[in-house]
Amino acid sequence: VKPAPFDYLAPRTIEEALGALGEDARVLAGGQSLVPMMNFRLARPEMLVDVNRIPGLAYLRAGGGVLRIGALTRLATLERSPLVAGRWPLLTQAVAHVGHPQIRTRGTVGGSVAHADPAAELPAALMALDARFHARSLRGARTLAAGELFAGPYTTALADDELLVEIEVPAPGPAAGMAFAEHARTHGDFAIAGAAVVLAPGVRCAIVLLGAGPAPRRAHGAERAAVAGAPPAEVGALAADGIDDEHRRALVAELVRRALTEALR
Amino acid sequence: VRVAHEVDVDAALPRAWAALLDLGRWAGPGVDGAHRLAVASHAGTVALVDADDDEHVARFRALGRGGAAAVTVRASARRRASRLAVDAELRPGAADRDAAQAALAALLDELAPRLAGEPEPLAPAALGGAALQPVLERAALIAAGIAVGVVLARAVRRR
Repeated sequence: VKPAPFDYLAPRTIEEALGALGEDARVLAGGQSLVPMMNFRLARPEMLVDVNRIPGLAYLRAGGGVLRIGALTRLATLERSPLVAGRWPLLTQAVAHVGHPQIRTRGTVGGSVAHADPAAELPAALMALDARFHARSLRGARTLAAGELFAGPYTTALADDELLVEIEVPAPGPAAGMAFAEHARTHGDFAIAGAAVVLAPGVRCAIVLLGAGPAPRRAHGAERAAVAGAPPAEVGALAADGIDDEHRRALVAELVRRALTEALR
Repeated sequence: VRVAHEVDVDAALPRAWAALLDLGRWAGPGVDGAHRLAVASHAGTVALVDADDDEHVARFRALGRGGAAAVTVRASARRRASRLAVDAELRPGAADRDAAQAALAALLDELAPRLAGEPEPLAPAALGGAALQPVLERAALIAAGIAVGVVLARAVRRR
């Protein structure tokens, strides 16, 4: 299968890229989701704006209590980073579930976020960590919270002329435990369901479900129960409440239980 | 094999730290975050993995003919200068640890001036222009001298 014809632009600056973005253009970063979709003609952009030659978009920098991730940072870089593993281990756990090593070598953090697959791991993990997403366009810059960004399946609040440039992740604090759990038919396959949990007992809890709706979503009722000290099985059942499909509901309940148990260790 | 070495950089910590993370400055042009490192003692690529701006710890991944290296650099202030403590884990392990240690020391000694904020090496074209400048200045003086001589000679002949 071949993609429909398209024009290709490889800008060297962000401004040049922003000038090319629009309704009929798509950003090419790692290409691990977009290119297969184009090959199957599920996506037919008239122009691909390849941002790989723009310097300064790939970095992992910690400072002032936050981790700043350049949108062009490869998933493999995130996975191998000792800095991330030490203070944001949820990201290390989540990214290890993304596809296979070859995919993580090319795939980017920004691409995974902007693609907004409802079964994607990183959007859920970033939402659990209260990440903020920085976007730029020729009109200016703006910052979105995860709850504002992920609008539905393969849909974000980013406008056609906006480019995601950075993701800012607050440090969850030394007392917080965190864990990620998912179920897929085979390792590397798209997840059927999953859960990302960040828990500071008695203070704060974030439980984000993936594969349980059109976009990653927080299970607020379950979070309140977890902060109050409810047992993990009960929290899991609360998180899965409202999911119609029986199999998926059972999966979500069990995955939340596992993640919460792990986060409590 | 793990090797370690320390090097002092003649620049205050904020400047040396900023320079360390600016790979385009001390390594060379890069593609996909991997910068070509071509110095007398080493040739390969180097990429920044992550950096902690609070602790001044940066991690790099280097690739060369002999294999790969995971490199951790800890920067600290030393009065008005900075010290970089470099720890490198070589994979596959070098057969001769002493040789690897010497290679790391040579590499850092070569890179330290670049991190100190010395003037950027001039591009070949600029270098050519800079080298030619004294010659051109001298040629202009000679030409002016000849012109003055010719004018004076003509004046003498008319008399």
